[in-house]
Formats: sequence, C-alpha cells, structure tokens
Amino acid sequence: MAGQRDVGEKENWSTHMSQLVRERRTIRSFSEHPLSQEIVIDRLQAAAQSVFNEKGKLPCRFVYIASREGKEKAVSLIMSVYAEHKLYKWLPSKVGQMMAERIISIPAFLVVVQEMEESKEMCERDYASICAMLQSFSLLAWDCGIGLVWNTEPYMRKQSFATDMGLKRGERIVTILFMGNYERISKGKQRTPVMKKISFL
Amino acid sequence: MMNMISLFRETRAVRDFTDEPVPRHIIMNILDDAVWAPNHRFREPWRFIYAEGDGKQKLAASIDWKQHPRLVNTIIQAPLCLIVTAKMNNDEHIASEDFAAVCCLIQNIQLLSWVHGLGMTWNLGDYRGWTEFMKLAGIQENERIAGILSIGFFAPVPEKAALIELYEKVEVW
Ligand SMILES: Cc1cc2nc3c(=O)[nH]c(=O)nc-3n(C[C@H](O)[C@H](O)[C@H](O)COP(=O)(O)O)c2cc1C
Repeated sequence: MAGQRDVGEKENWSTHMSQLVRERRTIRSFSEHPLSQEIVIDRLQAAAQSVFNEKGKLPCRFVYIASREGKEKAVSLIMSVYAEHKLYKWLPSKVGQMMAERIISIPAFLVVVQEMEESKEMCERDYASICAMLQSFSLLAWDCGIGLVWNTEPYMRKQSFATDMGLKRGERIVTILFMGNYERISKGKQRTPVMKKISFL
Repeated sequence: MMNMISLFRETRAVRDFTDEPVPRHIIMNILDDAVWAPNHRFREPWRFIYAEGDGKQKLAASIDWKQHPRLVNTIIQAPLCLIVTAKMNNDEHIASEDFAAVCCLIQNIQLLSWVHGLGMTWNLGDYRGWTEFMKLAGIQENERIAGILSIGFFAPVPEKAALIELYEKVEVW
C-alpha cells in the first residue's frame, strides 16, 4: 500500500514540476505590494539546497534591497554609472527621473555577488552553480506568486559601480534580480522542439 | 505534507546508478520541459548530444582515464550521457548570458529528472584540447560544453550532502 501511494505522489510531483518549469515567465512589471523578506530569503535558502557544488558551498552573497532609502541609493548609483559611461546617448532629466521612479517602485532588488576563486576553471564552475541556484530560486519564487527579471548589463562589471555597491576585491556582480508579485502574465514564446536540437550517438 | 520547498530541499546529487536503461521518451519529455528556461533575446543557445551504449563507450574511451578518473567512471556507469552545449560568442557579455541560460536549462533537467526518480551528475571542466572527444560528439567550433550530464536511476536514495547556508550571506539595504 505504502508503495502505491509513493508512485502516485511521484507522478503528481512530476506533473507539478513540469508545469512550474513551463509556466514560469520573466516578469517586468510588478504589483507595488511589498514582499515578505522572510519568504524571499527562505526560498533563496531552499534554492541553494538544490544545487551541488563540489566544495559543498556556494561562493556567493547577496544584497537584498527593499527599503525606500536602499532602493533610492541603488538607483542613483545605476543612473550615475549610466551617465558616467554614456551608456545612453542623452536623456532629458525628466525622462531620467521617470525611469528612476519606475525602478524604485519595484518592490525588491536582489544583487547577486560571486566571490571569485583563483582558478578560471573554478570560477566557471561556481558561476554555473550560481546560475543553477538562481533558476531554482526563480521557480520557487514563482510558486508563491513572486515574479522576477534577471538584469545583466555591462555596467554591472564597471569597477566604480562595484565599489559603490560595496563589493570587495575579488567579487563581481552576476546579475541584479528585480522582483515583486506578478499581476499580469505575458504569454510565453514557444520553444524550439528538442528534436531539432539534438543528435544521437 | 510535501510542498515545493521541501521537494527542492530534498533533491540530491547522485553518483551511483543502476544498470536499468533510461527510456528515451522520458528524457525527451524532460528536455522539452527544460527548454522553457529563461534565455535572453530568445537565442536558445543550447544543443544536446545524447549518448548511450556504444556511442557512450567510445566517448569514454577517448578521455584520458588517468587524468579524469571520476568523469570516465560516471560516464561508464550511468546508462545515459547527455552533453549540453552553449553557443560561444566574441562578445563576452553575450557569451556569459548564453552560458547562464544553459545553466538554468541544466538545472531544470536536474529538477525534472529528480521528480522522475532519475539522478544526475553535472560534470563541468576545462575541455580545451579534447579534440577526439569533440569530434566524436560532433561539437562545433562555435560551441562549448556547459555540462556532461550522467543520468540514470539510482538505488538506494543517496545521502543528502551538507547544507549550504545562505542566511548569513544576505546583506539588507
Ligand atoms: C542570463 C540572463 C540574462 C537576462 N537579462 C535580461 C535583461 O537584462 N533584461 C531583461 O529584460 N530580461 C533579461 N532576461 C530575461 C529573458 O529576456 C527572458 O528569459 C526571455 O525573454 C524569455 O522569456 P521567459 O523567461 O518568460 O520565458 C535574461 C535572462 C537570462 C537567462
């Protein structure tokens, strides 16, 4: 009897996981409702349990930014690295202000920082594990109504920005996740069938 | 009651596999789910090489056993070897985004395999200079290996590795 129930559960969970993986969407516009920091960090912690790095640790850390002041500070750093490196050609101050306000209205930012190892091979492997962990986190966040977008832009690797964000030597920003509860979900773009992207030996 | 969080917490690294063959349709279903991974500008920067039986043995034989005993052993032992490649790019930023997307895809494979009762080992190393291996696998100039995955059924359920603690690694602004 117990065995039968196990099988039933297993089938159930494979359906759930399959749905979760397919239904997760990148979210770019959020409800302004604040997030529970506890929920976010618990799900981050659970996500870390689902990756297996050889050394049994993940060389990364996070900056969770959800207070008004914290977000204002981060956004002003982002705006100034943009200006400093002329990453946009020219932005009237009013438009810049609107952009800043729009970002600040997002409930939370999560800066993901990798602590770099000496060897390039190790760094690659750690980067892979961190990305894997972030995918688990995206799924677990989705499962409780939290959507996010990975933001990866060249400015994140600029030294001045890293220093202002409080990074130490030997650290780099992997991505900044912007997140909040989702309201509208856009339709996902159909993926190319695997049959077209696989070869058999 | 089991919930998603506990399911993620319960997944384990698997290094010991049974001989039981892995039905191809299960893997194809897993992969068709897994490609729903996020990927920037819809580049779908991945490709798969599926190796079992003789094909897999040949791959294993092309690797220097003395240098890479663990890798050779898992390839030989697991019934399925699935190589996942990522597209390379002269633009370092794009290349790194694409590699990240493929890592998200591999994590999907890991999670989906687990709920199907399958285990997976994700091997990733510096494979430059593995000419014979690349040739056998048909890996192209503009591709790099993001993972050599060993997949199979496991028995018994492996031990859970030590917990990775993140609570102290979150700074709050
Ligand atoms: C490594 C990586 C970097 C990304 N960077 C950005 C980004 O800078 N801005 C953005 O809007 N979306 C970004 N995305 C999200 C993708 O654009 C998104 O996954 C894609 O449009 C597919 O949509 P879906 O995630 O809803 O399936 C990124 C995704 C990945 C995996």
